Amino acid sequence: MRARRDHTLKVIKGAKPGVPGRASQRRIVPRQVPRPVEPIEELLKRLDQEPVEDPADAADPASGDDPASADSSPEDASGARRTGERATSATRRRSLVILLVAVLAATVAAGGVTGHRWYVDRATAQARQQALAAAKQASVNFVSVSAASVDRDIQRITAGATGDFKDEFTRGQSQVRAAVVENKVDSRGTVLRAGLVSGDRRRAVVLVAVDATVKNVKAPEGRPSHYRIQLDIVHDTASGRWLVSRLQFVG
Amino acid sequence: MREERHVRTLVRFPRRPRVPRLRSTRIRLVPALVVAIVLAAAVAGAGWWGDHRAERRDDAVRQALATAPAAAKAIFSYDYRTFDDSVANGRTFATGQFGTEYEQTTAALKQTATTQQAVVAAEVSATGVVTATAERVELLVYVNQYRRNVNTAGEKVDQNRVVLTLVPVDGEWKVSRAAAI
Repeated sequence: MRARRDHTLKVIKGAKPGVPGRASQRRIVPRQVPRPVEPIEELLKRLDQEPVEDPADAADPASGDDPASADSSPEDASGARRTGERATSATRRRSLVILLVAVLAATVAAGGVTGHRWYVDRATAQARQQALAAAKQASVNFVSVSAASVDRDIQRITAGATGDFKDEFTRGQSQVRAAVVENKVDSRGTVLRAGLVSGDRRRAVVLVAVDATVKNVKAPEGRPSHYRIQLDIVHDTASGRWLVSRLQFVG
Repeated sequence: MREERHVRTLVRFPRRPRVPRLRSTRIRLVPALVVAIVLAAAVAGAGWWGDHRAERRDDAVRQALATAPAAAKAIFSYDYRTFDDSVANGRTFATGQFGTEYEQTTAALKQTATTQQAVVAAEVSATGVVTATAERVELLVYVNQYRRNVNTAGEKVDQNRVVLTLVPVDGEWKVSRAAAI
C-alpha cells in the first residue's frame, strides 16, 4: 500500500500524487454482477431436453398463450414447444440444405468444366514447350557433326528420330559418315531462335533458326552457315520423349 | 515427459459426455456445404480465369499470324519505280519507334534504289511463334527477298530469318520491332 503513494506511480502528468484520503475513492470500480440464475429446480426439470433458443422461445405460441398448462404440466408444454420449433426450423433447414446442395452441384459442374479446360490449356502449353526444346536440341544435333566424333554424333541424331526421318537418315547414314570423315568436317551449331508453327499435346511443327561454323578441307578456318530448319515433332507415348519425324531446310 | 504432466495435474475433470443430436449434425452440414461451395467456386473461378487468359493469348497469336505475312511482305519489299507508294504501304504496318526507324531507313535508301533500279519482292515461306502474350507476339519469320537491279543479271534470292514483334494498336496488330537474325 505504501508503494501506491509513491511519486513514480503518477500516471497522469501534473496530477497530484496519491494521498491516503483519496485512495479508497479511486478504488471504487463498477463490478460485473453475474446475471440472476433461475432456480436450480427449474433447470433440473428440463435438463434432459433440447436447448431452446430465445427467439424461437418467444415465437412459440405454446409457452406464452397458455401459462396455466405450462405451470401444471411443464412436460407437455416443453414437448409442444419442441415439436413446433422442430417443425419450423426443420423445414427451413431442409430447404436451406437443398438449396446449398443445388448451388454446390452447379459450382462443382462449372468448376469441372472450366478446370478441365484450363488443364488442357496448361497441358498443351507444356507440351509445346517440350516440343520446342526437343526441336532445338535436334536441330543443334543435326548440324553439329565432327569427323572426330562422327559415330557418336550420328547415333545422337538417330536416337532423337522416328518415322520417315529416322528411316531416311538411317539409309543415308553410311554416306554421311564417309563424307564427314573424308572432308574432315567439324561443325558446331547454335540456336538463334525457335518458333512454333502449330502444336497440340501429341505433335508440333517448329521452326528453328540455327547458325553454325563449318570447318572442312576447303575451309579449315571455318565458314559461317545460316540455316532455316523446320521440324515435325511427335510425342512418343512409350518413352515420353519428343522425337523428330521430319526435318527440312526451308527454301 | 508425459509422466511429469500427469503429476502436475492435481485434479482431472472428466469430460462432459457429448450426446449426439440430429440438430448438431445439421449445424455442421450447412457450414460444410458452404465451405465446399466456396472451394468449388474458387476452382471454377481460377479455371475460368486461366482459360480466359489462354484464349486471349490464342486470339492474339491468331491475329498476329494473320497480319504477319502481309506486314513482312510490305515492309521488306520495294520497287524503285513506285518507291514512295511501297514505303507508304510498309509504313501502315509499322508502329511506334519502329515506324520512325522504317521511315528513316527507307528515306536513306531511296537514292540508291533509284540509281540501282532496285526491285525487291519479299515472300514469307514460314512463320512460327517465339513468345506470345495477349499484348505482344514475337514471331520467327522466314522471309525470301527476290532482288533485281542493274548490276545483277537475273534474280538473286536472300533467305532471311526475321524476328517480328507485333502489338495491338486500336484493335489492329502492327509491327513494333523487326530484326534480321
